[in-house]
Amino acid sequence: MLLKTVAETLELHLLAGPAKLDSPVSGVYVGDLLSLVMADARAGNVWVTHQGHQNIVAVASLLNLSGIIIAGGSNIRKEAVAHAATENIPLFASSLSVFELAGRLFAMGLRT
Amino acid sequence: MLSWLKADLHVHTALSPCAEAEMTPRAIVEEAVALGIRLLAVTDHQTSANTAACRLAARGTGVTVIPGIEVQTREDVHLVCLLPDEAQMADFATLIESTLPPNLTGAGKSMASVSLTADEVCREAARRQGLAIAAHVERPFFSLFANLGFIPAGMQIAALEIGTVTDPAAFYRKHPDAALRPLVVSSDAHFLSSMQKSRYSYFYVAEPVTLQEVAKALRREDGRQAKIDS
Repeated sequence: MLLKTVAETLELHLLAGPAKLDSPVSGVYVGDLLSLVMADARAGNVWVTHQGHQNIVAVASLLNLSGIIIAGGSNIRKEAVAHAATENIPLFASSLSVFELAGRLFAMGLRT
Repeated sequence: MLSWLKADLHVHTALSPCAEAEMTPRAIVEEAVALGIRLLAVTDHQTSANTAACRLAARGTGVTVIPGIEVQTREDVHLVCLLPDEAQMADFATLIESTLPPNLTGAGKSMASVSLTADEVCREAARRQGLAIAAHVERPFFSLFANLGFIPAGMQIAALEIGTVTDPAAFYRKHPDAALRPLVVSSDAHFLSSMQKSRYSYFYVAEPVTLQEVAKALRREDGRQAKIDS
């Protein structure tokens, strides 16, 4: 499944990284503690989180994640958006909760 | 003249809901005197309301109390923020209070996060001639490394606080990005007996000791130094 399919289906709001929307999504990771994300998320995962700090971009870049979805309408820091634009990391916002996003991604067939 | 002072820069009073009622300003100062601690920072969760009482209790004892507060940032990172005097402390505490969720009171307030990021809290402390220390950085929660993975670029963090049982060399091996940052050991005491530790921080500073002296020691400026028991 391509990242743009996920973005369209879930009506995500794209904040940065439009050039990489054709990336394949290998699975989903959900979490807010960046230490755990760094340990457990896998390359190609789309990452659902509340964490809006700019460090999320470095984590996504380090792990080659396909994109980041900030859930629940959390306030995203402008530094994070700017950093994602520079690093060309797809960064999305959604008003859906983490629970709803995870459920819908699972229902779309992303089950790892 | 410079001399080595034994320090504990992270102690809670009974004002923190998680601390024991025995943590009165007088009892804390008496315990510090008994343990030979000369430099004490009182750091309750999201409030500095007991720092003045602790400073009063310390008069004439040889213990210097630095006003402080333990802030829980937007990312649930705990930062020990130290301010140079009561006026700057009050100003900083007002900012912290104003960035907490408005609907909470009492214990809820001390457990909630401010809307400021960790970077912003450090910057606001520095703006008031204060400094921020990342609290209990080896813990798997409420810590800079657990929550944010690594030290954010450009963050004005003066030191990293470890607990007594953490081996400093092992910590540096695990977090190479921390290698240039000074470590301090603090008790994070919530009850009196936990102020007694097997490892302490020491500061080689001029007396009467001020926060500026502590900051210089952490930066190793003007002959000032900081060390921890090995």
